[in-house]
Amino acid sequence: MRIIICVKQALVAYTELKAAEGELHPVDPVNAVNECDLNALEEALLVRNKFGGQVTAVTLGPLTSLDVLIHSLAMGVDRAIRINPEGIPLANPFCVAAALADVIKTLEYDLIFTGVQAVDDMFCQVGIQVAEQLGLPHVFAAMRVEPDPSRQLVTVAKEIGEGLLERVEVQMPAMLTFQSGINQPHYVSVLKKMQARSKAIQTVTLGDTSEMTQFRGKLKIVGISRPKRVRTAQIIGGKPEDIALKLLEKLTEAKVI
Amino acid sequence: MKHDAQDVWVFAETGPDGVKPISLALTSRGRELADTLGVGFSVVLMGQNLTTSANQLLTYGADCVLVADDAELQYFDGDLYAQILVNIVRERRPSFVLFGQTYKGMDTAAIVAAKLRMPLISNCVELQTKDGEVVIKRLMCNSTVVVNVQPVNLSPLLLSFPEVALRVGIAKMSQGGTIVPSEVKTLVRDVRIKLLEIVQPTNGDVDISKSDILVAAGAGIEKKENLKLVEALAEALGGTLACSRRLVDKGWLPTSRQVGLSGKTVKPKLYVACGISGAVEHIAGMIGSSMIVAINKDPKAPIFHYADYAIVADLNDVLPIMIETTKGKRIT
Repeated sequence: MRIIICVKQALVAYTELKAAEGELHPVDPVNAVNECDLNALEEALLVRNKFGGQVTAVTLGPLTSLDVLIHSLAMGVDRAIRINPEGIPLANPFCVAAALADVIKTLEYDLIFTGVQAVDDMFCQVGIQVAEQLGLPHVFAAMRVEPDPSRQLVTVAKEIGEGLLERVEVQMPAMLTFQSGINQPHYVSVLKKMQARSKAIQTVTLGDTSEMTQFRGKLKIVGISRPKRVRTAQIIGGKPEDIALKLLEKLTEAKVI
Repeated sequence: MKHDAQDVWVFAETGPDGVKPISLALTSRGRELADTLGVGFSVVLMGQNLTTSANQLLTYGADCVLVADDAELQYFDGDLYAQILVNIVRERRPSFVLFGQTYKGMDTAAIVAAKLRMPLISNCVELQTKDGEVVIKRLMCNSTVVVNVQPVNLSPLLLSFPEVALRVGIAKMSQGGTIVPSEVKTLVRDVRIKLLEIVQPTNGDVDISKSDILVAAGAGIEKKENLKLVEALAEALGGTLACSRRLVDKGWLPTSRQVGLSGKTVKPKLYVACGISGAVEHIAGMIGSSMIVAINKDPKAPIFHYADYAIVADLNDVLPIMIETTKGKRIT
């Protein structure tokens, strides 16, 4: 089984965000491997360990995102590729997918794994767009996967909402986009991470494809604000004792208890 | 009735109980947008036996309901649904297509986007139009921020809205709209995904949607032991313990306790969120609660935007005292 795992560096914390020149600029950014991508990566390694084969991690991002590839190598992927983001309109999920698809089509694979959505961009579509651009079937919100390499089939349990699951059978090659929390990504020791730093990471710079030039400047971030309050919360503060009493008073007043 | 290119469209979903609430809310939103732009408004509906649902959508303001009603469409198949939608989009050329952010909505929208070689602008909360310019507000960074994005010459604009961004739909008097059956040209079906079975959720120990008071725990409780505290508060308040997806993922509670898009939709009189950050998927399941109390030590947590009472505090500090106080109050 040859599996490609699309993994993204995600912004998970910041002290302040600014918008300038069509992009977001975080102050004191804290980055990590996007959570559901990490679950997808763990799943890819489990499948490889069971059936043999090779796992290739691909990321699209700046130099800082080498960290997610080092982490992927430390977890056990066989090969790592970074796509240089220069010239790619990253606020446009179609272009992000086009760049990934451009690189993936040069590789050999039976399955492509990724997470359902990045916590920072919240696009929730890149995996599906990659699949479509490559002409592959996909399964959205995958929870469990059982490949059958002899029949080139994979059986997948996927979420369809309201607690329901669907079991589907898909012909390989296929794209699976995984939900978060489906497994416990294994621990990576400091030593493994140090060793991974010396492994080769290939960087690919894409030429100016028509998709990229066509969309440049067509979907810009022009401003930023705090999310609107749907309800205006009354803040209950003070010492824990005061908080407890005040809240209880409010609940009694409203006759909810 | 005239149907021009430039219309606003909504992709609606139905279930056994008729049109899904999110689709009705989206239909109301689509109507408003069409009125602002001075264009027509159509709703696209797919599935089987859709007459009742189509009529329901007319009362929510659709000028036209484009219906693809076929036994082939009984079960959702993203490939097929998207192909039908793409065909009619190419034929009729709407300027906007709005999707509700559900599993089917997102699956369909993303395929449609790829086929039309367009971005899908997801997690939208607001849409502003002025002098022909459109500015879309969308959530980013774990719903902690709203960014304004400006699309330039993208048509159709494909937008998806999470449930939290939509108000409950308002039925209007029918304006004499029409139902237009859309030809489900027997698309040469290359079935790439074969449905084997639909697995029903295992009935847990309790039906949380029946409880008037829910006290829900999220990843912010940090340790499994702390679940006892949350449960004790639920007990003291005479309510039931619920949770966010995170705790089910960790295996700390069964799916039957889970609130949100992938779990249950609940509308209790009181919802106390303990250490829940407030991802849109969770909010979708509890926004209908009459009163929401949020306890979280992170003042930036999006859950506070949906709460009636906000308590910025460490759960370990406040929960034990809240439990004691509530118990004391009950006895007296």
